[in-house]
Amino acid sequence: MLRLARVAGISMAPTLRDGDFVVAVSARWWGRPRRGDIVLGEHAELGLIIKRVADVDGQGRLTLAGDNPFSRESALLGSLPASAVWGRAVLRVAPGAAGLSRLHRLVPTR
Amino acid sequence: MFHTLLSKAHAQGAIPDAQAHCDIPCKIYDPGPILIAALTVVRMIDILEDWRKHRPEDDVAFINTLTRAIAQKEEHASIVKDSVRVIWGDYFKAPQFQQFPQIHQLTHDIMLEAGAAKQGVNREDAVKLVELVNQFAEIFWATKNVKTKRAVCPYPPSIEVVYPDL
Repeated sequence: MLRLARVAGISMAPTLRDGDFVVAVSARWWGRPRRGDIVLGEHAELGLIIKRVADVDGQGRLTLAGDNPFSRESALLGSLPASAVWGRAVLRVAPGAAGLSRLHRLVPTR
Repeated sequence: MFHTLLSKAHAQGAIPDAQAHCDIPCKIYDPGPILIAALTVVRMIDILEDWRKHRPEDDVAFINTLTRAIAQKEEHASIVKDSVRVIWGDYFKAPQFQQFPQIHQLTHDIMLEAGAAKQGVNREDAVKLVELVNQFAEIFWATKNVKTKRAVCPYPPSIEVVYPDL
């Protein structure tokens, strides 16, 4: 139902920084991820990834993107089938005073 | 507090990494340095030939300079191969391939010619390599709607090179 993961890389900055932890909730429990959610998914080449959902097409495939322009370009990342998405990241655990914070659905403007 | 706790769990392998991959798309591509590398290959062959004619008596110094020229020839032919592969693999995408389908064959020809220039000391191979990279540069600039011109480079080996006409 719940899963912990550690963020590796800077493509989700400033929302998530390298070394932050996230708590994710299973899609089975929470429901299908929607545009603007931060998701944990299994990428064929990259393994476990964390990205924001930029778009969901008619077949339920998700286009993912980082939160800054240094993210791997979405075209290179490809799209993920809904079945490859484990769930939604809902909580951030940052070091020091930042501590715990909720992660919100943010509809991308790019 | 929570972060410190989770860091310990992560260190023990209990929590996986989720990749937030970063492959900085800097978009800076320019065939200019590749042409300089190709010209260097020609120049090193010229230097090797020149020294062969005027072989000095001091053998150790001669072998030293000879070896340095060969190492530079080797290195710059590799720079040509690596840099052409990066532009072909990272910059060129479907629209550019549609516009210039011959880029695949040309890229492969450059790989073979740079290999020949690495292996041997045949000046014609190196000059042909410069010409293939010239064609590569012309196509590259054409994808950006930048006109090009050909001019003899104002330094040795003084052969024709493609320059963007910006």
